[in-house]
Amino acid sequence: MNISFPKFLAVMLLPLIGGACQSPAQFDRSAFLEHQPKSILVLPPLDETLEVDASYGSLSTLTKPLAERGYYVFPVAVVDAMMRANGLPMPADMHQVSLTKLNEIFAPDAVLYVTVKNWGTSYQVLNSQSAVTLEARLVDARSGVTLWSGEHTEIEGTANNGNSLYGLLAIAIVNQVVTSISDPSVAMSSQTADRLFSTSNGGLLPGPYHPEHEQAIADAQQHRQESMR
Amino acid sequence: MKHLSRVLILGLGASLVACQSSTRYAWGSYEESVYNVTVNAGEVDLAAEIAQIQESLQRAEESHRLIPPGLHAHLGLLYSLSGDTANAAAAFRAEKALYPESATFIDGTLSRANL
Repeated sequence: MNISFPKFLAVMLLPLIGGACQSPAQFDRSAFLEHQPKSILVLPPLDETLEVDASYGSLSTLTKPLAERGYYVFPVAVVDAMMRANGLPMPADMHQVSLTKLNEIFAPDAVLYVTVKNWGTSYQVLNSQSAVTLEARLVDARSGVTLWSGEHTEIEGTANNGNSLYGLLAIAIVNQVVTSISDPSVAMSSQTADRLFSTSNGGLLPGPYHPEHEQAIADAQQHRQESMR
Repeated sequence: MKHLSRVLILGLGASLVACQSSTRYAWGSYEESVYNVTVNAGEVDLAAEIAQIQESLQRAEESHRLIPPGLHAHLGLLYSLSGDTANAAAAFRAEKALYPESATFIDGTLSRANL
């Protein structure tokens, strides 16, 4: 066991570098803490890929992680149908609707604008088979102020629990039992949305239906006060 | 070998149970139905979708688990698309009763449809 000194140094420093990477500059929670939304209107995502199912395939995966995080999420398919019936056939049209109009019809606390940047095989950068990238911006429905934003990418093969046999088997079986959807990007989109809301920029703080809501708000408020000193 | 596979199956079964109860809400087939209605809009079997969502609601009630935001309203959409306005209105009202956050949207939807 002969470890050269530079190597030894590198091994010793790695945790420090890793630690530094894990705690980047804290996302500014001031606007979020000021408005504290309870209900979220999710608009059908904009599609920056060339995949026809990207917008609505990803839309079907956004409600669950947001609701599990403690928010009321407006019924996405009903919202979409209502907008189409009112002369807004595409997500891009729906994203143009003013907050005033959205408030009048839905009265949400916040609106979530999502963009799909990768959807399956169109992903080329790392020469991977497929990836899903979602970017999201949560906006206060009254003031238009951004409450939280984030972006996350899941690459095929990394979406399961460290590739353990147990993880792979469990995911394969769960997928078979739960869904008959043939597009594998939908399952990846679920993972992407889950990570996006739980980790990107510190994650979206748990909402009022979440058991840890009050604690999380108190912690964030304390952190904010400390950083303002 | 037989023993190992039995352990694996038991383990997987346990993990499935764990997965199901780790969510706050009983999601049933909500996400899949959203996909079918929006992505496969042209070829959606509304009767089958309605049956699936009704089963999801029934299972949630039987197991005393929480019905997720939007599920009742989604059923309302399915009824509405299949022309059953009475059941659509009832499902939309159920959404509002369970989640008052939806009141403005539901009231507007009902009045626009003259229900």
